[in-house]
Amino acid sequence: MAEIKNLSVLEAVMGKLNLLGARLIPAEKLPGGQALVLSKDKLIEGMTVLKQEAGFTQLSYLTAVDWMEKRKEFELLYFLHALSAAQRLCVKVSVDRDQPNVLSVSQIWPAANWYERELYDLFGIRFQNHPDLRRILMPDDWVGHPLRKDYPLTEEPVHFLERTAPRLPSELIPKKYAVVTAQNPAAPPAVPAAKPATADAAKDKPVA
Amino acid sequence: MDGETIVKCVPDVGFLHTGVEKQSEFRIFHQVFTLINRLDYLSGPQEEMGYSLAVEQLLGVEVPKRAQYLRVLLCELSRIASHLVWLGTGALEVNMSSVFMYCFDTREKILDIFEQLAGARFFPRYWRIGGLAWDVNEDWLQQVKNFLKIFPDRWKEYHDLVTENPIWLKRSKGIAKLTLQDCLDYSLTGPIIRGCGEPYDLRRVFPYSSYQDFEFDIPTQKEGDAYARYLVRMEEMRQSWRIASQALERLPEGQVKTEDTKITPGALPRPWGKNASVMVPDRRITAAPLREGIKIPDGASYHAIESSRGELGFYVVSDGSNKPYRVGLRTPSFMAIQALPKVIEGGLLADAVVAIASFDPVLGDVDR
Repeated sequence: MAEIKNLSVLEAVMGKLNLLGARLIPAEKLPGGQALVLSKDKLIEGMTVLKQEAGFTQLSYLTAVDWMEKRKEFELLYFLHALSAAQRLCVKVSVDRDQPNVLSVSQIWPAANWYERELYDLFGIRFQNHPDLRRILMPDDWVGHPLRKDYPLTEEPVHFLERTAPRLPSELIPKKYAVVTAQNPAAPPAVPAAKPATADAAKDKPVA
Repeated sequence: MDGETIVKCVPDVGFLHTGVEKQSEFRIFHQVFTLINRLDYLSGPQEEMGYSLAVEQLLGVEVPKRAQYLRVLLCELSRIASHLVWLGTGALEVNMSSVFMYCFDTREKILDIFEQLAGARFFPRYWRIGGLAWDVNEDWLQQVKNFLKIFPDRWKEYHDLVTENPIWLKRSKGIAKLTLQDCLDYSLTGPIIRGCGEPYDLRRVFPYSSYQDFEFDIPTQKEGDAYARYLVRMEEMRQSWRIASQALERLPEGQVKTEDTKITPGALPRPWGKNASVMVPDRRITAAPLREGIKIPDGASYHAIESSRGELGFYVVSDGSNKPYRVGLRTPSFMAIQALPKVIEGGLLADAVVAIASFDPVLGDVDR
């Protein structure tokens, strides 16, 4: 029942969306939803059609994934929700990793305001025409964008007990159980994320 | 400020930011539970529920019926606990301190249930990918039964204390008014949108974990003010009680985790009783699926649940390794705080307190 409804909601505007270069892709693992790929240049036109003609009145969530090695781009994911038809839609937009500029949708859905600030803060994606593009979660003077894959996870020495020298938290975890690679805080920020190294480490571990 | 009137309000968040999304990328799938249930620290089980559903959807695992019912039972108990904190602290904002004491007394009983079950009161960490950590026993079921027996009377007590209270009515009626359009624009969900007349509840729209098996109503109010949200949450507590009672009554027999021991470790005995509150380092940490993690095939999945505060969504991406490539968190309080200027600008300073309480934001949930 839900599936049929969904098709009719999208079918009505699919012609227009096709003209904008949008295409449906195999359903994302998303309850009650479908996925659509839209190009960056047609973002505003496509989103306006989706909101005003297909009835996706709510922007549930806006997030991004940094495909640093695989595709060298950021993937923006707009999760839209049509309340009347009880349907969801995931709109995927690719953004160049070196020139992460994209138009803001905060004029269409005011909820996007903070989501875009968050993505600017954590990924460094610059949203043009945004009313107030400032950092939101990190301090204003922070350098770098933490959720990028080339930003290392570091740690600071902590006082665990009185009258002892500060230690790194990862030093306290027995090597056998440590699955997280603690990186030296002094390491240069250009070090790529520890993913490949830790995957190997997990393999080498003796099976108890 | 202009005298007592708020002219402009700019929320400044981020002071509780702990980088959960970044840290999750460096932990195996099982370890992420520990991080994410500290977001909305008033309803830990619901966070675990959302994350485990997203990962199970990615894996394509079916969870046994008994585990689904137990999950529902725990989520509804934690919804009651979370709403009790909201009611207690909300009443405290208008100086009704006795309500606070009564609410926390009842909530204590729910936390005792969690403690008896898993050793921890706020964050049971009882969920596993593909099921639950261990099965429940008769004593525990009896404890839940006892709680469900006393709850309606307790609820009536709060209802008598607050609903018709002239101070409460004066402070909350007509305050922090929102329209349905505002809710759509600012992506407000949960009790806030239901307080504006829209019966939107993810448990009903996209049922998960056997919610379709239970009978419950979705309370709505038309006014969209703080009092409407109060009425919605009060009724929700009763509906949660209804669902929990049904789940307990019809609890099916069977396993509480999938048969596939590659995903979840085999059943391990759990010390019950007083010792449960002591963190005993036992062998379950050394069980292979928990230590090395499971490798989850390439893909992405988004799963949202109806938490105490609204839509709580998890976007999990895997690149085939034993750690998530990305965990995105859609938290309801983040959106609620964004909409805050909308309701408190132009109002009195004293009303801002009630407005914030009526949104029921948890700042751990905002800053992640």
